[in-house]
Amino acid sequence: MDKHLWFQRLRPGLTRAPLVMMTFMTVAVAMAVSLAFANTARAQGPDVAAVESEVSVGLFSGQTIVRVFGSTATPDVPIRLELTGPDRDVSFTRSVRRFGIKVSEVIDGAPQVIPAIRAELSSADIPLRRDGDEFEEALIREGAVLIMPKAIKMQPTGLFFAEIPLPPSAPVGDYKIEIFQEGALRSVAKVKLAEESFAIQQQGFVALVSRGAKDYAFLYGLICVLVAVAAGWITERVFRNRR
Amino acid sequence: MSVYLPIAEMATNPFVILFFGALVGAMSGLFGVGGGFLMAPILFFLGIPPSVAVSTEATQICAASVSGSLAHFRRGNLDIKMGVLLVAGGLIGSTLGVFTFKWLITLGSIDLVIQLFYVVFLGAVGGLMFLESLQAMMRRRAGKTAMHKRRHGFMHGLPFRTKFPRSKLYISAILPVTVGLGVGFLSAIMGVGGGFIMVPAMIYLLGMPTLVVVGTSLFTIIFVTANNTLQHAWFNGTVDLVLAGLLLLGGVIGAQIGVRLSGRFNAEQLRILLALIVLAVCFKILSDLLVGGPAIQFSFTNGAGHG
Repeated sequence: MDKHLWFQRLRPGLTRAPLVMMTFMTVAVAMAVSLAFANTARAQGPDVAAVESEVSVGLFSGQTIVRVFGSTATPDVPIRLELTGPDRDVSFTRSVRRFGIKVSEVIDGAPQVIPAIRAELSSADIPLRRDGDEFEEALIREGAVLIMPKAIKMQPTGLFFAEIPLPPSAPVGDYKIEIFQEGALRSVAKVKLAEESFAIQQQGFVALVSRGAKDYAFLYGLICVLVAVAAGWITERVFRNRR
Repeated sequence: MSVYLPIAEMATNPFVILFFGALVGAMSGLFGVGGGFLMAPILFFLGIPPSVAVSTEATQICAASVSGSLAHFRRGNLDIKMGVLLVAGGLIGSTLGVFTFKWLITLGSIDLVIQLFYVVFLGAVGGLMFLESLQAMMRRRAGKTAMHKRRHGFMHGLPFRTKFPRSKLYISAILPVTVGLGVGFLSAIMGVGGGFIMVPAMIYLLGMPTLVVVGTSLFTIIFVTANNTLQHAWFNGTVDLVLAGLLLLGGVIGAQIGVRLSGRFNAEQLRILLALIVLAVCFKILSDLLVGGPAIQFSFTNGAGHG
């Protein structure tokens, strides 16, 4: 091999292949490692005897799907499941017309901290939405709140199963799943039957990047600039001979 | 197939990002603009948080500009002397812009200011370019040669007159520094490379030949966007390296395609095309301002990078 491979103007064909390979392989490896991030689930034991349940979380074709299995002694009584994600600061804005153009105004008295993602499921066709809540409406519209009636599949034997597809925007953090009995019984609105929890966390390359970006922000920024300059330069080198 | 973006904290389809990266990269090579004013709305549409989109895009524009300006440099279409003066002004301007940006945030309604800036500048620049190129085309069709009027105004009375052999100009060094300053300032406020303002400014204010304008503009954008990338990563933590990798893989390839395509069009056609794209984006933002969207909106403020 020629030692001055990078510093010489070589004839087409000699430099092209390794450079193209390098560029694409680097990106391919980064993507593959990034794909390999996993969600971990840890389930706690049920705290109410009436319902046995189990949670499994998995990544299927890029989407995080939470699966809840369980059994109840009273399959006739409708149950409700609530998934609550980690809290985030939120700001609600209202668009107001001023001088003919739309202006966003922060709404006073709106919730300041809400779960970044929430899901409500039921085994029967029970109205889950709180009608008239304009903030809730906005959250449902943008997919931050999932309303899924009849999403819990209840067997006559009392075994039940539910799948909750979390949107790509579902953040890392601790998640909680609560199972309630629907308020079929007069005064009691809902009775909590079981509680499970799991955590979504980043692993591998993804965790490295997000931790690096936080802990070594300046260095991370320098790396970003270097990557950009190197990518631009390499591509130009690669395409230079291609004519 | 999907890839997880660590800073944006979401999974996304890499091929969609690659496609749009290449599309915007091709525009970058073709027109000498970074394409940021197009990529930002596309990324918003794909669900990337705006702060992450704007910051990460600076990284992509930087890479595309390195690749594009090298290609132009080899063809001799780069005025380094002019570029260095533009960069000097640009870095001062972008720092001023960052401080103004922070001040506007404390005042609130930063979004509205950004949108109005977009409408005013895209409208003015696009309209001006469109009319000018149309006139030039009609003049050519009428059989007359396009006249290069040299306007003799206050600009030519300024001190520090310098020769710019590549651009065949003899103008005051203050002019490119001022243009760079303005572009850097707007770039920081609007979160773009600033090419769509710089290209017309170089043609109409400095009187540079169109051939040199594209390469020199890309050269300047390298430094402005490198500065933006560093500042966003350092102070805001909003640069997503995985997203940037996808964008710049698409972008650098697109830029090379663009540079090759640019030889096939003449300057007037290119300018009309760019003017139409600029006006279309302007119209889109204006219609968003005028036509009401959903009454109530929300945004998670400590989501990206600060979880």
